[in-house]
Formats: sequence, structure tokens, C-alpha cells
Amino acid sequence: MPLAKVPAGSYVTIDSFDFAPELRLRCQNLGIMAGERIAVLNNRKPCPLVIGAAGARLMLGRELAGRLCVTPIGCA
Amino acid sequence: MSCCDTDSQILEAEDRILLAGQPNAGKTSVFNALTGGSQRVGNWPGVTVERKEASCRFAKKGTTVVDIPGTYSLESTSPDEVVARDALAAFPQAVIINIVDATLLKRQLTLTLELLALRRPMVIALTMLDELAKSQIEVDLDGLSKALGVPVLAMDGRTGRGAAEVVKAAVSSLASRAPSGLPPAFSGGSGSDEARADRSRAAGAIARDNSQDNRGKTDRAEKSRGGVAVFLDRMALSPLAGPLVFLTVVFAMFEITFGLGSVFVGLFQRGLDGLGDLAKAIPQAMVASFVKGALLGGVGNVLLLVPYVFFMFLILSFLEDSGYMARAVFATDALMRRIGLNGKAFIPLIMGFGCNVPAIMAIRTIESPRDRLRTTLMVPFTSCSARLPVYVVVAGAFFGRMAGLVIFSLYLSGMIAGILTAALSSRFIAPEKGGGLVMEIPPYRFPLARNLLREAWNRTRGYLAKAGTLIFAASAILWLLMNLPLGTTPEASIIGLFGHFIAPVFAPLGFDWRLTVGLISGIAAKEVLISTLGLLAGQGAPLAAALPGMMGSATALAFLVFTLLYTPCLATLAVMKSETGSRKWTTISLLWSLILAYSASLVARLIGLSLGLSA
Repeated sequence: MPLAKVPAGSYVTIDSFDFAPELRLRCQNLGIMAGERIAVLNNRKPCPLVIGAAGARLMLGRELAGRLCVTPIGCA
Repeated sequence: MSCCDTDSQILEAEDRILLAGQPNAGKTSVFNALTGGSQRVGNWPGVTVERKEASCRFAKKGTTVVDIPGTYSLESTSPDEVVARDALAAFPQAVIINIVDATLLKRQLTLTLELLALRRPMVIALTMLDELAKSQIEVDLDGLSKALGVPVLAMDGRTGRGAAEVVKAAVSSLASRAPSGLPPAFSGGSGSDEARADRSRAAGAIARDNSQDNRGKTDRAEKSRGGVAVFLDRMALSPLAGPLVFLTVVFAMFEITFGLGSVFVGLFQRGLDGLGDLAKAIPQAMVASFVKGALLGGVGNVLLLVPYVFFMFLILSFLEDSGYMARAVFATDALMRRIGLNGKAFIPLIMGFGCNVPAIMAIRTIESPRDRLRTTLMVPFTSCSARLPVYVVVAGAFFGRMAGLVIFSLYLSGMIAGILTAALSSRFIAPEKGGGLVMEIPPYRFPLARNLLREAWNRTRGYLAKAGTLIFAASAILWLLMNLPLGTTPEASIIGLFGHFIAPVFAPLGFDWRLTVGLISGIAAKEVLISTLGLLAGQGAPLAAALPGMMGSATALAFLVFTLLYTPCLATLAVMKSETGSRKWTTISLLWSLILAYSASLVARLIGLSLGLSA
């Protein structure tokens, strides 16, 4: 399911994401890559999502979050 | 005596220490600690966008420390990160000090692994260990050093603690020319998803093995963040409260600036009046005229407003160092998305409150070239600190208690004009498809008062330097033109005739020849506008008291709007041309700003007149 639909307080594993190469690289450098576990900390429209990845808090635009496929693995 | 007197003997003059690390790891703080410098620092990713060099205070023979923009990876392609990569290539003999934020060990080590693959002499300076300690996590420095094969030392960039030891290790590393190698856990590949995943796994393993517990740190850090920080973020990262917090922050910035600034300006005014009395005693008429006109009327009026500029910079520095900038990005993202940009484009707008030149350079951190161009077109409408003195004097002279609100409205109007420009530009520059916002949210940090004062003073010094050079030169030239031919009145002088020639263009806005000359002189630098008006207002009288003789309240409103929107200063235009590489877009921006300024001023004057304000 798209990350944008995951409620705050959930943990997910990233399955795949379809971004332009430069953005894909940026995301990977920030710890957003297939197989990684991330936490959804804040998800309120129309704002960006706040996620926890590789030890950092990141904001992720809603369009990007809509193109990031994840599998929920639990709640906080 | 420095720590590394012996080792530094080995260094050659061309030896360099290169500071590399991920964005917001604290490189510039370390740079300042190593060099005794005062480069601008901030608590958001992308503060440094160009290379800076200075002599290392801990090594002899002019060893140079090079601060480069932060980069998440050596594969990155945004312009600031390309600067970083180019610097690494430009100094193949340099020893690298890799600045690593200990609170983000796993992610930061991915760059470390890339740097190790370069097989250069290298030392790691681990920063933010105090913050890590608050999360009950400890890093084993020796273990990390063994795993990575290079020295790992603790350092606090803000206080400079550990700086000497880091330089000593770097100098030893450089002297032995011992190249770094790759740790066994990592094969060193790059350029593919698999290689990045491999690097991330290797970094994760090293971080995990050498810290007490690296897994789930995000969650613990989230829970362990202070109550105040959690409350602040609950507000700043809320869809409704976030934008309100942003507006409140901006409004508070102006209230504090004017509240504190006016106390000091009153004192400065007394000093200026005293100097005016002294000037009356000068026997030679021409000398007395120059002192009262060019020096006190021109430069003096600009210097008078220094306190406002200082407090504005102080508050901006506080916002930048505290971590609020990233929250402002969050709060404005939804608005910016409506015009095809994202919240990241808002940072240059806030930076522009200080000066448009670094604000335009900060646009390098935006990944998409088209988004960079559109953001560049927005920035000149952000009201820089050079315009602030004009607002303070004119609004103070005409709008009394409402002056603060008028000035706040001007700043907001500038942002709206910038956003409108970006929206219109999307008709000609298609917004980047597939782009989007991804940005780190740094933790809140309470800035050190010493650093804030230093930062504010450094920026104010630029304003003072301009007063002593450009503004003095402009005032002297204008004074001369105002007194030629000899014995003439200002109105019949060369500058008076020039003003009268141009003034009909601005007649619909209510601007007389003096205001017209002032606006034209302000193209060089906006502060010159005040010095010109001071000069033209007549000698001896405070500018604010003389202004009602030049215009009515409705015209004053139009004048403020025009000052807000018209042509940015020459330095801004030059950096706009160099950053966009386009003379066409720089010219378009210039013409658009003139059209918008003229139209908006006309509307402002008509509204003012319809409200019964004096013409």
C-alpha cells in the first residue's frame, strides 16, 4: 500500500518506490530504500508526512509518499 | 602553544585539511573552531553551498582548512553537492576530516564508507555526542576506529572542545600519508541500488557493533525528546497551527526588532544631533555643507538605523540555529505545492529577510533546475535588511503607532508577490514532474548566545562596511551633483535637473524629483536610498521630520510599496545572473519587478487616497 495511506504511529517496511533517478538517490541516501523499516510519525493532510528513517526524522512530500509502496508491520 | 607544533613542521604550505560530511553534521561549526573563523552556521541541511578556506589555528605553516558543502553521498548531483565532490577531486593530497553526527551514525557512515574508498589520509570527528548521551546511547570510539581503520575522535564544534586533538590526528595522518582502506564488511561498490543497499547494511552493522544499541533509535529518540520540543513540534507540524505559528514567528520577529531597535536608535539620534551641532561650528561653508549633507545627512542616516538591522539579524540567526527553518518548510509545503514548488523553496524566502544574495545562492540545494529558476525569480521580492531602514523611517514618519503593522504587511506582501511570480512563471517554466519534498527535520537546539551575537555582528558588519564605502561614495557624489553648478540651489543643480527630467514618469505615483532620485540611487544598494533622501531632505533636519514635506501619507504608502517591489540591488542581479546562467531570465526578472512595483504602487496610492489619506 502507498505510504501516504499509512496512519501515524505505524511501522512499515519499504517494498519499492518509483521516483526519478536523482530523487531516488536522495531518498536512498537518507535511508529510504527497499527492505528498510521506517516509522510513520505524522500523517495529516495536506502537510508532508513525518517519518523516522535511519535514525533521523524526515519530512516526505505527499506525492512522493503516494508513490512509495510499503508493507505495514505493526504499530507503536 | 598549539597541540601540533612538532607535526605541523612536516606540513607543506599547500597542505590542506578538507572537512567533509553529510548536511547539518556540524562541519561549519568545526570549521569555525579549527580556524577561529565566523562562517555562518545554521541548524538545517544546506547552510553551506560553497567552498570556504581559512588558515588552521592549530597548525603552523599556513595549513588551510577547507569547508565544503554537506553531501549525503559522492554520487549526489545537486549543485551544492557537486561543489563538495569537485573540492574532493581538486585537492587529492588533502587529508580529510570526516565530520560525523553521532546521533545519526548509521546514515552518516554511508558517506564515510564512500570517503574511505577514496583511499586518502582521513580522520573522523564525531560530533553531537552530548545529544546522543541524552538518548542513553554510547559510541565506542576505539571500536569504531578499529572497524573503520582510521582515527575516530570526539569533538564539539560549538565549543571547540576536541578541535586540537582532531587536527593533531589529521596532521599525523597527512604526515604518514597513510591511505585509508575499506572495512571488511563493505566491498566498496557504488552506482547501483544494490551497492547503496550494501553500503547502508555495512554502515548499519558498524554502527550497531560500536554503539550500545543502534536499533530503534528513532523511536527512543522520539520518546526521549524533551517535553518542550514535543510541544513545539505538535504546534509547528500541525496543518492548522503550523502556518499560524509561522506567521506569529514572523510578526514577533518584527515586533522585537522594532521594540529593541528603537531604544538604541533614540540614543544614536542624540549622538547624531550632537555631531550636527558640532558641524555648525565649522567655519568653511563648503566643508560644513559636506559634513552636514553627505556625512551626517547621507551616511549618518544609514548608520542611525544599524540597531534595527542588528536585531533583525540576531533573530534570524536564532531561527536558523534553533531548527525552526525546517518547520517553516513543513508549514508552507502545502501552499508551495499549489504553485508547483515545494516547501524547500521557502527557505530562500526567509533567508532573503537578511540579504537576497546568500538567499539566491541557497537555492542550489533544490534538486530540480526548473524549480531552482522559479525560486530564484521569487527571491528579489523578499524584503531584505537593506530595505528595512527605508520602511522604518517612512512608516515611522507617516503611520505612527501603525508603523509596525504597515511594515509587517510589507514583508507579507513581498512574500505574496514572490509566490505570485512563481505561480505566473509556471506558465513559462513547466514545473518539474516527479519532483517532491524530502528533507531532514533537525532536532531543536538552543543556540549559544555567543554564537548568535557573533553571527548577528558579522552580518551587521557587512552593513557597516557598505556605509563606509559604497554609501559614503554615493553620498559624496550626490552631494557634489547637488552643489553643481557652484552656488546653485538643489532643485537647479545637476541632480535636480536630472530628477525633474525623470519625475514625470513617476508623477502618477505622486513621487516628486527627490523621491525619484532616491529610488534610482537605491538600485546600487537599497541603503543608498536613505542616504540620498537624507541628503535631499535638507541639511540639519532629521530625515523623518523632513519627509512630510516631500509627500503625503498616500504617496508614502505608494513609496513603501515601490521600494518593496522594485529592482533588487546590483549585487542581487549579479548573483542572479551567475546562478541561473541566464541573462534572459535576469532581464525578465528586472523588468517584471519594475512593472509590478509601478502597478502595485499606483493601486496602493489610489486606495490610500480613497481612504482619505493625504496626497
